[in-house]
Amino acid sequence: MKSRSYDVIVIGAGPSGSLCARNLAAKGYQVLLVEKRPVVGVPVRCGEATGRRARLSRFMDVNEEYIETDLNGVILHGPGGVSVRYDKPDVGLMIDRALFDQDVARQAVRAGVELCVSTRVEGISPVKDGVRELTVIDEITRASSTVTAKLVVGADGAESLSGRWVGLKTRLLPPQVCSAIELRIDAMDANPNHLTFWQGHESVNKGYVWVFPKVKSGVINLGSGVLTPKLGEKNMYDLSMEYKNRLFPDAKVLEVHGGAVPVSGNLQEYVADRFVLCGDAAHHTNPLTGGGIISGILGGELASKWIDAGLKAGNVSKEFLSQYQEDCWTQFGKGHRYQMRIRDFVVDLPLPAQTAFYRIFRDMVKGDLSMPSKLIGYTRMLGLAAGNWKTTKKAFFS
Amino acid sequence: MPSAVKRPNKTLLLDRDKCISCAGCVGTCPDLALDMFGVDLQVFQDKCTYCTICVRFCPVGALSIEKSKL
Repeated sequence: MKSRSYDVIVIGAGPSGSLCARNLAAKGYQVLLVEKRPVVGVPVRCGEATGRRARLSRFMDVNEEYIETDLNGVILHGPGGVSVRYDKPDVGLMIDRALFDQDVARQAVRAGVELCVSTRVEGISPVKDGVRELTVIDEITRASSTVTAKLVVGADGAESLSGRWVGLKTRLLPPQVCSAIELRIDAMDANPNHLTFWQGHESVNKGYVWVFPKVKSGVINLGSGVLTPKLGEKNMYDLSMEYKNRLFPDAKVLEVHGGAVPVSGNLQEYVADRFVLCGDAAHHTNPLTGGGIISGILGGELASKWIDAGLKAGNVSKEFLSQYQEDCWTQFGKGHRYQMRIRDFVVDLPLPAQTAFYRIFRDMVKGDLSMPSKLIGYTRMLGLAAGNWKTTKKAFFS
Repeated sequence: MPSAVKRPNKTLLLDRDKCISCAGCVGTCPDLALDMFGVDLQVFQDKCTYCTICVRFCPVGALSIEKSKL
């Protein structure tokens, strides 16, 4: 570290943290970005599917280097042999997360951020004389030092402890956390431009199994994730291996990685005096799909916007920064809550009802999701759920 | 004094051969009894309250709680 005091210190050089740091540095702040790993983005802990090119390009210039596949659709295998196939050009992208994270971090460094890898934050002090003091450890020399910042951004991902150090309740609370694993397999899927999912009572109910092809690298990400299982239930590794042996019996497994996906919807509170959380650390992940790249980036962008406003106004108190929280809520938090209700609705359905639900969904998709087919579909769904009206109401109307 | 508190006769075991260093358990632990140092997961037995959340969570089944034989 070149200095002992900074305007902003960002913990974690993932997409969310790097983007937030980049935007702040571009506005002229002195920003330090600390990353505990020796190499940014490695190891990857992600399914690596993300939103459309157009959505990504709202935040940065899309670099072809990390694009693996342009996705043209989704195949969803539900219960009772019902498969939903949705074809639409440009529904999303497969990316190489390691290269992607490095690209965003590079943008940050070019904007003037000081990046320190192999540096671990051990603690954050309460606010003292208008600054927070961080204890950091160099992971190579084991030397401990302190740095101060006017504001700290915690973007340290799902295993975030930074929020807990400043007294926020950010713990991942089962069952609202997904236990996920992913195998990288040396094979290519029959549908190289489609994401394939298995969900439902006959495969895995409280989560899904996925096959995401990475065409450029010629590998497949096969993984599974469920809401925290009960004691003694099958673990995700065994489940993924089962699917791997069924789908690609001869292919080799190149890599195994896993992690936690927070699927609780946005946290109740993730700002404190001179402190904000963003990305996975603030549970900015989609509770239905578990996807968090775009919302994490958006969270980082909104964080940088409100931090800038706060530092300019000389007010970075909890009250002021809670506007950032509200902004996140209106931009994607509300949508995430809605998707969480859909998830809980589908997961709670018994097998016959779930099969019926998938049939209706398939018919809706076949009708190309135009207004009449949507209307018919929703009406039929309401009919289906008439036996359990309370849940439906909770899911769709509250 | 913490040392005077009687600890339950249990141990949180980590199978290092199975652990894939995903650090998911670190975020789920209510007692900050787990932390990741590089690729090395550390278990702080004195903090663990044996709530089994991490055991349930672990995607590879590397964590388990065993009664000490002492």
